[in-house]
Amino acid sequence: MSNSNHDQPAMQAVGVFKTSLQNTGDVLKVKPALDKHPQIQRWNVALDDEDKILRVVTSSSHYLPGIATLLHAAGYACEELVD
Amino acid sequence: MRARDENKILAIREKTMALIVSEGLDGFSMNKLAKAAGISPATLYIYYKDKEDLIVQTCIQASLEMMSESLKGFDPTMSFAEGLALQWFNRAKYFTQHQNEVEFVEKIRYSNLYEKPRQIITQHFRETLGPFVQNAIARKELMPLPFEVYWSIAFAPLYQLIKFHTQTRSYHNEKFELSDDIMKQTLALVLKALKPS
Repeated sequence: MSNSNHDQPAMQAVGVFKTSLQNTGDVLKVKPALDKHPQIQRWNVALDDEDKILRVVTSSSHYLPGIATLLHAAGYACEELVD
Repeated sequence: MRARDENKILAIREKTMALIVSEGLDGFSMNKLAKAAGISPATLYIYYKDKEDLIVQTCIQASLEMMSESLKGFDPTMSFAEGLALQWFNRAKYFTQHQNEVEFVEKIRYSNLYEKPRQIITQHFRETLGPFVQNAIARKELMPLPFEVYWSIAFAPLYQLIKFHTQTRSYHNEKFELSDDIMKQTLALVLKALKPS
């Protein structure tokens, strides 16, 4: 659970990615890179979702394509879902 | 980037409650919800962190609405009889007109997701109803009682009447509809029971 306030899309960009992360072990493997990324404000993985959703909040949508690259580098599939 | 779409959020909330009421918490998933609401799963994740966040936020929102409807026109300085009558009528109105919301919150109440909504609601109710009860005791309109005893006498009779109404029957009658007169008659007995002797 996060601090649960709705994110404000006007000031932030939320990226939603379908990934091949399967379990907590996989999440721990990508955690350092996501934590370290200076433009990522918050992120979480919904392992209970069949698409193993990675949700990332950044300051601008400009940074979203780089996130997929980051997961690819760790050996995982990662594809941004559009709404 | 785009603005928050309030209509979309309302539609998501409505469908979340309807699905959880009809299929239960276990059968509920973001994908099912997206399909039922005719939106993409990505949209859900734009607004909510995950499934748990969606359910908890929806429950908080529904509970706050329930509370604000229950307390419509209420003022803690009201006489006990007037303040309780107002709450009874407001609650009866809300509970009979918003069965989906009521059943949804009831389902969450018995899950491990209720802790946060519970804290928020308890605090809000305590802030408003605490002074009301204290005033009533000070004016000798209400006898001092342990909270659970007070609540059971003050509100449980109303909720039983609402239950009969929702079931459209009682143990005794094939048909039952909650009327203002029935409510007033019951409320008069409740007020009598709670009055200091």
